[in-house]
Amino acid sequence: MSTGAELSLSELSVALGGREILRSIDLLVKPGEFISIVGRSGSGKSTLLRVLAGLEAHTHGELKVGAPPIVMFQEPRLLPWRSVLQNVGLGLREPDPRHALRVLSQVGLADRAQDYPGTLSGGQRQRVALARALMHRPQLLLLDEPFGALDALTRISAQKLVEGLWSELGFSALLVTHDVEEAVLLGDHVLVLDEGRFILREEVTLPRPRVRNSAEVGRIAARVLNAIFDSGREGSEPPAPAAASGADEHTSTSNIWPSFARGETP
Amino acid sequence: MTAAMLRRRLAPWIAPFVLLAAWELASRSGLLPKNLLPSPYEVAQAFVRAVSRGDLLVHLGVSALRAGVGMLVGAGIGLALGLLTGLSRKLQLVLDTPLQMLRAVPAIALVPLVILWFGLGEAAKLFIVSMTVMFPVYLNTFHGVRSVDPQLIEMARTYHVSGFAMYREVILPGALPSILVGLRFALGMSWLVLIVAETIGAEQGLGYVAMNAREFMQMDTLVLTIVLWAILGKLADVLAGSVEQRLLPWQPRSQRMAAE
Repeated sequence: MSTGAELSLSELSVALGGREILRSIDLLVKPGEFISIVGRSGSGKSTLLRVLAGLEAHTHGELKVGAPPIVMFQEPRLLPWRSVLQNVGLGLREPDPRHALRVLSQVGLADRAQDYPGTLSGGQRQRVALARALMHRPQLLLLDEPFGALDALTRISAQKLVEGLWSELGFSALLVTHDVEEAVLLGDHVLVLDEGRFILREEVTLPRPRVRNSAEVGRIAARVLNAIFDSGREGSEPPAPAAASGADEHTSTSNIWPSFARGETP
Repeated sequence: MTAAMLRRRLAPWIAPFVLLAAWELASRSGLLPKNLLPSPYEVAQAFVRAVSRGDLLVHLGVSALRAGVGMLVGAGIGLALGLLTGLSRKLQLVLDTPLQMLRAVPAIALVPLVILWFGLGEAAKLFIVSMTVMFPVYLNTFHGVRSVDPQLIEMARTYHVSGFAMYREVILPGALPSILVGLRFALGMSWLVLIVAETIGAEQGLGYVAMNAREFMQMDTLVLTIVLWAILGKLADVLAGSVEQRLLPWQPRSQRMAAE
């Protein structure tokens, strides 16, 4: 059975088209951890995920992944000309049909194995994309807003499905989202990315499965939202040292805290 | 077969039959002088004569062979060129302009040169047909390769699909609907261009029959060739449609119609 892989970034910077998107960030995902990264659009969170997936190159710093990451995109990105079963086996030289059917039944779609993706609903397509990821026995799953395009009810069941499979299979997961509640519901830690740096990290110790709309989830979500909006009021200025040391209190025991705490300026 | 299905099958043939009936009536009443246009009955007689002489099938067979071989060669070259320019910006830069210029040249203008190069044999006719059908296949293949969803290519890359597997799994199937549209055009044109190709020293073929009939003012035979062209064009289209249906089973029929 697959286990989680470790992922670590140190002083990772990414510039695209001359613009600095990620500024010397540090991050550690321990084996089996579920990390959520939230941020506004343009904060660099999608770029971070693309770099981890090997789709963009980083300009500076170090990136270590314990196992090849598997990505789930916002769109299912299924091949319309291949059956569900063939889509699930994509990238494997000799896909094991029994394993394929097993992962399809894990997402509840074993009976649609022979159908074309065009005949499935949006939620079902995203579940096939999840099955395709599971087919590769991922040790590190990167989730790029995979629930963003789903309707509210489908989103809830998809989130539960991913959480259930994560706790069953033990892979490490990195979720990028703009939905703060989703980040809190699923993450062991919630990190806030703003202007290419982490400005907050919240550890979420609530027992799973967490209760949507509960007071505890709401309190943490509010703290995360505040951090996002506070940074907005400061405009494009780098975070003040005071804010940095304040944030540092949250995570004094952790080695994955952003480099601005070390007093660097861009 | 339900009544609705029957209506759908028959509906496309209403206009041709009404036209045919009106034509026959106009000929019989003398409204349409026979020296201007023979009646459908006379055309049918010409058809029966040609079939009973046994040469019509030979002419059609020879033409089909020329169209078919020309199609294979031309579509093959067009497909290869389209894939090359579609996949490589450099090759597109080098090849696209001359190909577009060549496309603008009417086949009939090339006939004297083609005779000079290839003589009066089959090679000259194949050259004309191949050159004509090459362009729609080239253009649509190029367009098809370029319009493959980049998100799918990116996704496949994250699953370590690369090289030939990328073509087989993503690029070719993604370009296929467009390639088939090109083939459909080409198939129609392969028959049309025979009227040009079979003016070159031909003694058989539909183009030869039409030219001969024109020389000797055999109006009934001439109109017969026109009707045959119309029917063959429809047949080519039906053939292309069934190929499409077999190769694109994943595409809903409504979507396929919209793409054309």
